[in-house]
Amino acid sequence: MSFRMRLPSADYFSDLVKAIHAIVDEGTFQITSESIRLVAMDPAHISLVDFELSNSAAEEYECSGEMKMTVSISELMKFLKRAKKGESLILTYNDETKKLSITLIDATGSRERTFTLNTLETVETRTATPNLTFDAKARVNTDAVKDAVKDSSLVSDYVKITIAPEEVIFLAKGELGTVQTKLTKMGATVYDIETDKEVWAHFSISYLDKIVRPASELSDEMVMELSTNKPIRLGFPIPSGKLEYLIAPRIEGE
Amino acid sequence: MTQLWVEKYRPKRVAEVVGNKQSVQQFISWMRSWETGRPQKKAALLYGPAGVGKTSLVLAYGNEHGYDVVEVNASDWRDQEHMKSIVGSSSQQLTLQGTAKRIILVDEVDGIAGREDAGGLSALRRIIDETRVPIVMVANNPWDQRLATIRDRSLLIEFKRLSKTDIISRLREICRREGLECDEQVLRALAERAEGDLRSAINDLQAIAQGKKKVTVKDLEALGSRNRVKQIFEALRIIFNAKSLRSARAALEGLEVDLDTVYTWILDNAPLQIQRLDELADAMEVLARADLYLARMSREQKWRLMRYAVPLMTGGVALSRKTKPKGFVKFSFPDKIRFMQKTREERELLQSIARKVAAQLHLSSHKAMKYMVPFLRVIASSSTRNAEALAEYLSLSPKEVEYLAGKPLEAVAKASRGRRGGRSPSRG
Repeated sequence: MSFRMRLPSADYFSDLVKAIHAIVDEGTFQITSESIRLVAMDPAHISLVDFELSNSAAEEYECSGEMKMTVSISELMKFLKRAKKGESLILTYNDETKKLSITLIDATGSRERTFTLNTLETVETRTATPNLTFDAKARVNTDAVKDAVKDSSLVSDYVKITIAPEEVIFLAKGELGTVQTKLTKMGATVYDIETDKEVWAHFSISYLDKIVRPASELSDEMVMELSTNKPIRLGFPIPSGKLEYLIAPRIEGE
Repeated sequence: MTQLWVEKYRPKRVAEVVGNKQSVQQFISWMRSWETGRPQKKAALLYGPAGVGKTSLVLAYGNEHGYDVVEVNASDWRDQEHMKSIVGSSSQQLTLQGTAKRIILVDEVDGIAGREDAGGLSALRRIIDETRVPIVMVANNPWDQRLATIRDRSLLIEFKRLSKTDIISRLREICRREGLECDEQVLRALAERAEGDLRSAINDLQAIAQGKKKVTVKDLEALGSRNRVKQIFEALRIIFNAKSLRSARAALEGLEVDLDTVYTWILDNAPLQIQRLDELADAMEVLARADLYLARMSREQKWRLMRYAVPLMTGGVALSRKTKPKGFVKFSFPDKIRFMQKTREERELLQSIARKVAAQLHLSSHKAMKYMVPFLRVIASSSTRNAEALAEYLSLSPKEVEYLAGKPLEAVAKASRGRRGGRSPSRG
């Protein structure tokens, strides 16, 4: 069985993989005739990435059957970093040889570079997206969140995220002092809030930072979904695809 | 792509974990203490030989009770940073389901205690102090000095080698589920070979059963022998050919043979491997020193001396040998060990007699052996009556009496009859 996909921008795909690489070093793509999808948890099981790119994102898409492809994301990243502006990308995978080819073609079609990557053995794991329901949902500006996380990191390792009917608040408390960022509804930073009560939880700043930073390259707005003391879902809308993360909250109380 | 049977048949539920019932119980009650409130110790250290179900128990428990098991291996926590970012983070956050049902499983803690640890262990210690979820560590050897602070913070649960019966019944179960016909004798041989290590038994079974419907005794040959002697040959090869102290020392790592035995092997092989006399003299000199340390180690229980004994007997010998013998000189089995094996039964018999004498006469068994046994030999061989009286007084087994008499009892009887018949003067 084999798979082939041509994407107009190698650069863009590289950014997508970078966003996955934020939390995992190794991952399994499930390839079907509809889409390629990767669901993976980081080694500490605190965050999860759910990435999907449908065939409509591709200029050409051929898939002769369902297959799984496990790759070292860090190695894949190394190759994709070589992509230049304006280059397009062809991914080819052969299920028998277990090799993934990455071909970079410049705009004029005069230069074609092919990198071949040996894939890894797929280990059957039980990574399933948890069944969660969220009490609150906010659509916010990605850069505003990126800044809020960065600011919070000055005083603490954790930040309390609150979604209230009229605002989204980031509050970090440390020995040094406190940092608070308030994003008000109907401003330039919060596009929409759907909740009738206030919900909150504490999250690790390092996880928020490593997820939001690369994802901010991909999307100007993001969706935050939360219930009190439950994992948060961060969604970054991308054309013909899905990029979502879950982060587990800190354990509260004694 | 074939799946490894050890993975395929890893227990899914605690009840399927083979053997070590007491340890399993201990683990379960510790987990209960987490579930019902505050445990006395926040971490548990499961220790024991390889392949007896330490990791399997944790995974089975996690699976059965819906825990998210975060597994970290030696390679994941070479240093403080990795330790903090994986184990540290994980010990403070809920699961992605939004519950606190998580177990952190740190495999091979003793493995990291060695060379590659860059602050990993001290980071782990702090994490244990602050963790909000159970941390389970697994080790083969928990007694490493560097693990001391971690031991203090952990509930120690010992796992023992599995019995042959346990191993055989598990192997039989696997055969049944694989639809594999397997001679009982093969299972017994596999269990024998495994020496209490179920994982290696299952691996062996899979190796010989590959692509077959039926496994017979003949297939066993394919396994070759993975015994201790082979391991020690490998270690000797490394020691005698090492170019540096460090590489010679490393030869003993992972070798499941006690130091005294290794010492005997090196000592006996040195004269064969080192042919120039001046070099041999150097080697013997360091071996003599190593021997002193070894003796003091066991006599005074000063295990710290091991750090001198080991480099001397490995590296010291390696560096003494500056010229290689021409051609290949094979390593030989030490005479001492061969002799000890041969005389093992005899020594055991003697020991048991000495113990009985010691108990009856209020002596140490050492003294009994030295001062009493020689006389008992004379008494036992003198006449059947004396031998029988002796046996009764000391409650000796027939075998022990025969050993003392130095011949079968009928022969004693015949000899004494002969003496009486010949009216020879009694020799007091």
